[in-house]
Amino acid sequence: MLEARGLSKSFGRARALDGVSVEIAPGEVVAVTGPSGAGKSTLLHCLAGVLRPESGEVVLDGRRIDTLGEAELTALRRQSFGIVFQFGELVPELSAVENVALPLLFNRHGRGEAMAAAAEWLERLEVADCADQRIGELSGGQRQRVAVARALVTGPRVVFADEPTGALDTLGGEQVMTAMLGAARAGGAAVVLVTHDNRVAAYADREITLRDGAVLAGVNP
Amino acid sequence: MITVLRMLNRGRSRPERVRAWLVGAGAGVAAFLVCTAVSLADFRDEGGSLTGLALALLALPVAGLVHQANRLATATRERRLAALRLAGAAPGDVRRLGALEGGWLALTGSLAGSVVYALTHLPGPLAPVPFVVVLMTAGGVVSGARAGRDVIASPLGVTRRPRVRGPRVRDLLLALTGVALLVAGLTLKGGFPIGGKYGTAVAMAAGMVLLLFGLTMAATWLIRACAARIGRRARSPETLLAARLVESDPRAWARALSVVGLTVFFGAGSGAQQAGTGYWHAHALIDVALLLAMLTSAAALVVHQAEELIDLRRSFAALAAAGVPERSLGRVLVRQAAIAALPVCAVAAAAGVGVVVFSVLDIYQARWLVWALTRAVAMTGIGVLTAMLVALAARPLLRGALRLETLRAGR
Repeated sequence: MLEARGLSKSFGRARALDGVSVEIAPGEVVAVTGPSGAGKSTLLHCLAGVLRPESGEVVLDGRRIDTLGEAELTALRRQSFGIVFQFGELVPELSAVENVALPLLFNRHGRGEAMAAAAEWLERLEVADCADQRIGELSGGQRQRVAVARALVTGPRVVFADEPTGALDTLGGEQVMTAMLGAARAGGAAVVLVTHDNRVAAYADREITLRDGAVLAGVNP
Repeated sequence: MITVLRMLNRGRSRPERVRAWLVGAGAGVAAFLVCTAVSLADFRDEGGSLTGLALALLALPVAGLVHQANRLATATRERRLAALRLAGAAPGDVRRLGALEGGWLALTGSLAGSVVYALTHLPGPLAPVPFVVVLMTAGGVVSGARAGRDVIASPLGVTRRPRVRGPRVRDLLLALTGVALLVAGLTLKGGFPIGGKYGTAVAMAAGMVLLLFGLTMAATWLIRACAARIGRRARSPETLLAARLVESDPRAWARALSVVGLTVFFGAGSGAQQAGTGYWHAHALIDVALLLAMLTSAAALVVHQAEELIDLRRSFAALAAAGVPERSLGRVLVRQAAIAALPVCAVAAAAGVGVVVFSVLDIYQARWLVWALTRAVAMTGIGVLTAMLVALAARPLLRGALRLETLRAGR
């Protein structure tokens, strides 16, 4: 479904990716691991269409996406991908339910419909009681669940998660992972997970290890 | 202390240099305008006194711009404060350095402005020059000392005191005190108990200043109420985001729009006066001054817009990564400006008309109100449009804020 072929990307003189090829099947959970500076986040951003690789190609359902125009790529990210960041990166001025409804509103759904769908997702992720609270009033775990709900509310084909439990304690991290993978699997979404943490990587169907911008190994944990 | 200041000045970053230049240039322009206004105030004919008024009006937004400019380069200044504390400076030393720097910039700027005034007005009156230079320098000292007041600089780092974001009752009290002084000045008609023969004039001038500041800051209540209402009913994500962003920090918007509010206030007041008195030529001069004041207000708004984008950059970068188009985020900025500016400008215009009409209520004719209100509506529109155009012009800054590096930089 999602495939990267020979991706290379540099930042100045630093080579972040060096001919990386990976393949993600529908509904598959893939963990990308490796030391700091190995190119994990760069790979995730190239796959998600946030960064453009210097060479190589990214293909979604047989269609190259790295050559799409900015407007098409932006629409693709909004409609087919969901992204979860390490610190949630929610809009602090909006309530939890408004944050989750935002992608639907940008996809031109009506306000009532968007709010109802957002409330349903918050319930599914067991944070329904926080719906009307502002982000600053939520705990780290609650924030990440809201971020997961925001990533999944549009029914994406792939969810990209960059260190989704990096800012949480062990228990909070486990709860977020269970909630995220459960919801993603229920919706048939594939998950690409960047992590330093072996316990988090163990949730994946497959692990890809990067070092110095190249794939070191691909294993099934 | 002066040696330390010299060393710091040599190592200024680019934003700091821009700030210093803006503060100095603003003080120079304000000094020139005030000197010229004072020199013209003695002319009793239509052209002289109203031109003086026009120039004095123009000095107010320039002073506002100087104050906003002092807020630039906050991040660089915070790092510098922390480094100074680490090097052994006491909190008082840090405050004194700020005051010294602000005073020095205002002194050099106002001296330059006064020289230009003297050269262009010879052999005119030079009496206002020392007074204006002292006034500007004192303003610079106070502004410089206050610039770091929200920053707690300890040797271990710099933290910020939580900023007041919502409305405060004392803003309303300021406006009420202003109204009381104006009413007292008007009803006692020269018999004001304090200040001798100038008592009434001083009381009314003080009342006007308090009313203006009070109204501008009390607009925080109105901005928040309007934004909350719009947010509840918003159908589009851009309006929802814009309303919620304004609702969460209405005070910053009220402060940023204070100069626009002042200009609208004077524009509407001038229209109300014009309807009764005529004086078309002199009022045309005031209109030119107001136009320039509005342009200066726009510069102050640019500073606010830049500050706001720094605050929003992580949220906006995450939204852009998740597929929100840049033009949608641009629309959020424009709608924010409209939501905040509309109540401020409407209140300022109403207050401008109200003050003039109330001061000559016994002779003001109802038919004059048509022109007065038309001008008030036009000034409101110009104020709102200015704020929206500044937001529109901030697109390049927005593009910079949406870079992926923003998200990779950590917290």
